[in-house]
Amino acid sequence: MATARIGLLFSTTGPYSALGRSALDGALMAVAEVNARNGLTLVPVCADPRGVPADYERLAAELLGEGALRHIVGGITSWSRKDMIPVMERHGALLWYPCPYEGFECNDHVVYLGACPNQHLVPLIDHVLRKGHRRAFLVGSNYVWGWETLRVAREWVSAGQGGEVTGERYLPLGDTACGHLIEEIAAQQPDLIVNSLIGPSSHAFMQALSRLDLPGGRPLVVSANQTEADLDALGPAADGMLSMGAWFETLDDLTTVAFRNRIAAHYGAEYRASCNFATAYTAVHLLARGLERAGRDDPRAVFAAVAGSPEDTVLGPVTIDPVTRHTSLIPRLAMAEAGRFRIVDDPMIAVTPDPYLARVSGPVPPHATPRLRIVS
Amino acid sequence: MTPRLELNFAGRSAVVLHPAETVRTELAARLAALGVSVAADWPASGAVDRADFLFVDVDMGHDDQIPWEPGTAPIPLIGLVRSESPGRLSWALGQNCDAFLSQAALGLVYSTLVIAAAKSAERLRVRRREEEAARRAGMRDVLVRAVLAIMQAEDVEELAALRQLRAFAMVERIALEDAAALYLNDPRPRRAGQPR
Repeated sequence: MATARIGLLFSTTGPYSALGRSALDGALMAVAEVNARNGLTLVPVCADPRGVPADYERLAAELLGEGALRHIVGGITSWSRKDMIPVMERHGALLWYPCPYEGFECNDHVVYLGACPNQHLVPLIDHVLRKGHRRAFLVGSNYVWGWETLRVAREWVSAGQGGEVTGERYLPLGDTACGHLIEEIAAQQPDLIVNSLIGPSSHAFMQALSRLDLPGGRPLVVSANQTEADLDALGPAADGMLSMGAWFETLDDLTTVAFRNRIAAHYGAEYRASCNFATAYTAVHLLARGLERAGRDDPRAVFAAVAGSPEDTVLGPVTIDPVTRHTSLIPRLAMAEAGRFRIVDDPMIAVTPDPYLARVSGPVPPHATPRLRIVS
Repeated sequence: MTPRLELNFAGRSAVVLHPAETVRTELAARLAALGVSVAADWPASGAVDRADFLFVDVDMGHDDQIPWEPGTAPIPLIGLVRSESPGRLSWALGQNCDAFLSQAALGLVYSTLVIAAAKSAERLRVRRREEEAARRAGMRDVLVRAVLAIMQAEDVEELAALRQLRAFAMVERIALEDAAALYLNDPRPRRAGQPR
């Protein structure tokens, strides 16, 4: 096929606009690269839901409504993805979702390109437990990403030898009033904070935490959703934070170096790319490959054309599982330092997605045996 | 205490009683992603006895395929809903399905397993409780005889005798009626504070 219209649905304004802008930039750069090859021409149709949940559903319906396009790359939050799925189902369309998320979903109208918990939170918690951290305070945005990632964190920490969750608190999406969290942390003095806050909530929390003077020093902060797109707003408050992601711009493999050079040529040497950028970029390239191989934009045919076998991407060689529709990814661990992420661990081997945590040797739930019997 | 939800089914097996190969194949692939193997399928198989989950087509399923009395499944039973004919829904409800999964939405099999496992556990717990209540109700005469025996041996009134028997049952962590049977079987002196 010569030309295909694709929807790009990212919130480039609103409460988590930095993440949306980063993803949109990655998608648009991939569109430019595909179009420069003089083969398939992608025509991007952009829409900005401004971080308003209901607008994702409305705008997705508008994009798909006329039948002019059948593929949307978009969504940052799980909230937005879950709002778009019924629309995708009604129109027989396909959503290419480029963000890490909390797992426990396998919808036939979605391609999950971001990491799920066995690729982000589980290895992250395993890492810090191995390092001896035991007393964890959990904070997250008050929707399914926060709830489910912190549920996994709670279960993993509690199952660890001597592991203890000292508190678990949520902030409404976009809320920045976090004084009560800081007070609680000052009182509890945990040695680990699992941060599943999004955008400005995370920025405000990290800034306030950096001003906290604890006798034992600041607890280690870990996150499965903090990227380069957050570092500008975080500033020095991010220093020392551990983040697990499928891509960081400071990776030094040849693929990333070449990708970084292309990004610099496209957006300027000062441009900061993030995991969302790289994953949305990957989504558009894989979509283009699927369109070219299938020769049509039928979502089933396009998906079948790219699923099931390894594809070279800027994230490394990845395989989209044809059943779970999730992507194998390399979980990379990095520490924020002076406005950049220093790579702590790059295992170089992709981890097969396990969205329902069916195959990880998870925490063994403590089995409560009743010790007394009430006789009636 | 709220029972802990079962969330991981890796290593379990399921039997899928469904006549359509496409449904069986798709369901098997989705179950495999959850670590659940499909042991057998349509029309029927002895493997039902050994499975951890049973999926049955509501449209075509019938009692002969299911090796237990309707409504008493010893494992989580999941009805696969296709058409919506009332007669078939009535049959499925008679089987006491723990969960239902629309055949148009096989992608939701994980939540169906979670719900079916929880509901089945609750159903079996209630059944065990009912059986235990019936067993104990059948031992009322034993209880009366034990109370009378303690009254006679201890020279106490019936409420005091009952209290002694209850204390004995709590220490032994057994039901009151079992404590009564134990006492009648062996009324020798016991530890201080216990029926002697």
